[in-house]
Amino acid sequence: MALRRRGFVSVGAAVACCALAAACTPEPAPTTTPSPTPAATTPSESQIERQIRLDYEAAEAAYRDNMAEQDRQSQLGTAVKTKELTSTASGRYLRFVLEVLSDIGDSGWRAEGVTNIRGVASSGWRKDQVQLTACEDSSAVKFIDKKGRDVTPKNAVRTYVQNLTVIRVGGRWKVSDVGSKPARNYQGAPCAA
Amino acid sequence: MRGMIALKIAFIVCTIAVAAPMSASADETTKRCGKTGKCYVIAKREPTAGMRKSSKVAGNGDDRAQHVRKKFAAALAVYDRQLARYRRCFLANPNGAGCGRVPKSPWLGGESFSGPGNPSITAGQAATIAVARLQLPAIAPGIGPSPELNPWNIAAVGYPLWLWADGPTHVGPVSDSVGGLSVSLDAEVSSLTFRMGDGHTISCPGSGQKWTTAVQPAAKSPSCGYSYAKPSLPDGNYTVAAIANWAVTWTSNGQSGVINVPAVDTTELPVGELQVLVR
Repeated sequence: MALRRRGFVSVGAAVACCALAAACTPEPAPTTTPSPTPAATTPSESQIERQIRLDYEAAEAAYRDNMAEQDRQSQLGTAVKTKELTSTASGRYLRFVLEVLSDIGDSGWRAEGVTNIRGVASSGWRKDQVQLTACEDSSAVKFIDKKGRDVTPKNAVRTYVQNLTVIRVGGRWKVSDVGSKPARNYQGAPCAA
Repeated sequence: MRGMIALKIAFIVCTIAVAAPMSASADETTKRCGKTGKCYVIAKREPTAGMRKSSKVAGNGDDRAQHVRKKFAAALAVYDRQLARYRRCFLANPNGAGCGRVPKSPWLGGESFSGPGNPSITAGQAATIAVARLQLPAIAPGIGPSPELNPWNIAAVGYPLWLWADGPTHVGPVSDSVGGLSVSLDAEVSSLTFRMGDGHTISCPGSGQKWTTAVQPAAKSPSCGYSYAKPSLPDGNYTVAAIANWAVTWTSNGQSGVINVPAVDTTELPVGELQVLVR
């Protein structure tokens, strides 16, 4: 669970950021407001901090579990909506994952090796929703066809910075969407190791 | 202590402020890329009645339709280019390797482009999607007489082999509905190209003629045949690739056209020399 929260590194930056946000945003948009909590149960600041940390950890665990299932299925060449997938992913992300796995399976391919998650960084939090940035490196994953030939796509970028949205659904954290940016190296990315 | 608490609150609020725009950034046009290096555009699910209502309230319908239509046309153009590249690869590549699979239409994956509020599409665009959805059967290289029919289990150098498309060579007519348009499709293997594995390529019109045991020994195929000049053995087998071109004729909304879809499959063929001893 190698979660890095770089936001904590610079308190000054946080203050500056807030000052900027306050200056540019006269009234906070409804979506940026944390879910109101009844006054009687309002947690102290440290409790909020703890909640954020636990949410990030749970969200990252869901993402990593999902990636492990993706790796397992791509090695088998299957695209099955397993419990491991549905308990850790939903919505567009789940459909995206099934598309990727279907493409591999439909081509009669199977993967050798796993996607290397070079780092995961938290990039946003609000109640029941977490943003993660993950550096995914699939460059070492080989694809083999039914005749045992290496059919790994050549010249394709397979290193991405993935901006993940992870939401809590029914008490479970599930990756619900992703936006990918190709990255030859991860220089400057928050998830860079 | 109060100062520290204030700073922590500052961080939390900042974190929240950063989170919101990121979550809003992913939409139909966002690229999602997987371990194969391929990227996908995952469209929204078909909206439910309730969702349709809210989307009408949310945006300017004309602007949205124009925007989505533009994105769709761009995605389709990319798909067309991928398909053309795929065809070129198979027609030019001496061994057929590295061409990958037939590109998928960007709107495949159970997504529908129809429904109230969605932009209209042209008959040609609808046909492209319908053709991409069409599950065309695999075409294996048919080679006869089979090497298994002789005691040595090889094809002989100099012997006329018959080549054909082994599998269904006609599909249709079938109908599909895309974006509210009905599309009728009729697919047929229009030509065959065989890469014989020895560096020679044979192109044949149609789907070739199947060899049967009724064929006279050493008779040549009337439409598609080949005789090897050199053995593959003892070094190994020739890898024979059959590249079939499916010509899919579409009709929609009073228009019609043909979309060519290539399909490839390979087989291993041991070719040796048979010596005849004459006394």
